Amino acid sequence: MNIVLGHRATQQVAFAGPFGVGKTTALRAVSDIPVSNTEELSSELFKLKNNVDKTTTTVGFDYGEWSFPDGMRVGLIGLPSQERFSAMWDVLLPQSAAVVLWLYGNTADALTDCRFWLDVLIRRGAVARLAVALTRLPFDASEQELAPFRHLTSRYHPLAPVLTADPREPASVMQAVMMALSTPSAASQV
Amino acid sequence: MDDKVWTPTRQSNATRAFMSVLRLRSLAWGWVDAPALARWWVIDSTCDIDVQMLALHYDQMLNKPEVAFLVAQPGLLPRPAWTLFKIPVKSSLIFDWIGRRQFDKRSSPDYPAASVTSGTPWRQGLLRLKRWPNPARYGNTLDLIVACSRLLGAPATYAQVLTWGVAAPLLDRMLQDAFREGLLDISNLSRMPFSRNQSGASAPVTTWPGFNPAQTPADTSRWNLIKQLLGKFSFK
Repeated sequence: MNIVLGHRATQQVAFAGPFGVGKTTALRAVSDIPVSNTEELSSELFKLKNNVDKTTTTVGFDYGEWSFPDGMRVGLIGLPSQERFSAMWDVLLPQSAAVVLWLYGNTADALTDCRFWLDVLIRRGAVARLAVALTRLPFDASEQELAPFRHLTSRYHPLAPVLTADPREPASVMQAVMMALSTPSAASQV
Repeated sequence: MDDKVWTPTRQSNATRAFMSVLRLRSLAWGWVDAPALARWWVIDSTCDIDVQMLALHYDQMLNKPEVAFLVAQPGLLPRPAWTLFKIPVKSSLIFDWIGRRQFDKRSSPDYPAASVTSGTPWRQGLLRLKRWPNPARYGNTLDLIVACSRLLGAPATYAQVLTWGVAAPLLDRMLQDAFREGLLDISNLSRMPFSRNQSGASAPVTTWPGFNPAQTPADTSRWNLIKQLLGKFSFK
């Protein structure tokens, strides 16, 4: 793995969420550079409840980047999902311009995961520019399917968006990022 | 909306879980002690209660409540109008049930008429979104996202929104869905305070009271990034 030290980006966008939800995939879908991958073999996670083919996990963080004609660079950070790497959350989340929280939209634990990650984010001051992106739901999912996530998220940030998204699709990933960046700020309520 | 709930099984885990989900939707939900005072009933059939007696009481009520009948195994409902929920109940099913009951109520002839004209009421007045719609329904258009962001922050007229680069058919679809789902505030232009420009003609004030569009350096940096991303990722 190439070590990334003192990267040139002046801002960064973070992708957070549970194991296997598609954070690294989303990062790869939109990054201008090959994503620096810190995945390691995860033998104890060989068989997962949501993705039996995933055998690696991000142990540090994943790094991608956008570059712009005026020379500006924006870092893209994929956070490790396991709580034992929470020190990375403490370092990376407070300095992020926006956070996209990726969640499975169709599992029994979806709301529990949502609450867990929202608590993680608010403790690190990272809900001001937040979008909650639900995977594995149809794009035209009904308002009733999204409502539980909306109501839970609104308790942390009343205007944070909840949307359906596919981490494999660049346009879908960018939609989530743009919504996170452009959400008006509001005091969190928790 | 009437958020009063009655149950003969307040201490049951299933009932309390049901109530917890209702409170995710709105903190206004609350228990009442008399069944006649409630708009909604929650009955946990796994508890030791006389369901037939409850059903007879329901039959005698003039204004019948909506009834959630919680069961361990699917079976016959005591009354066809009741809704069966298998324990443990999924929150999405509860929200769907409430939403449909509210929609049915709005569709009834007795429901108060809407205060705006039917058709395209968003074409008149000042528009403001109360929260984000799901933009994934409308394809991947970043211009629509920026327009929604602006409508979340401050009101604007339909004509103004069109100047932001959103195609009219797409905007109409989004506003129609937002209006139907209760996400859209429409205020009467004539009720807004007016200011006079230099020529003496009056012009509408397009900010809500208390709204402050001041740009901090962080805001400026953020909007600069948004503009750059629009240029980079406008998927056509």
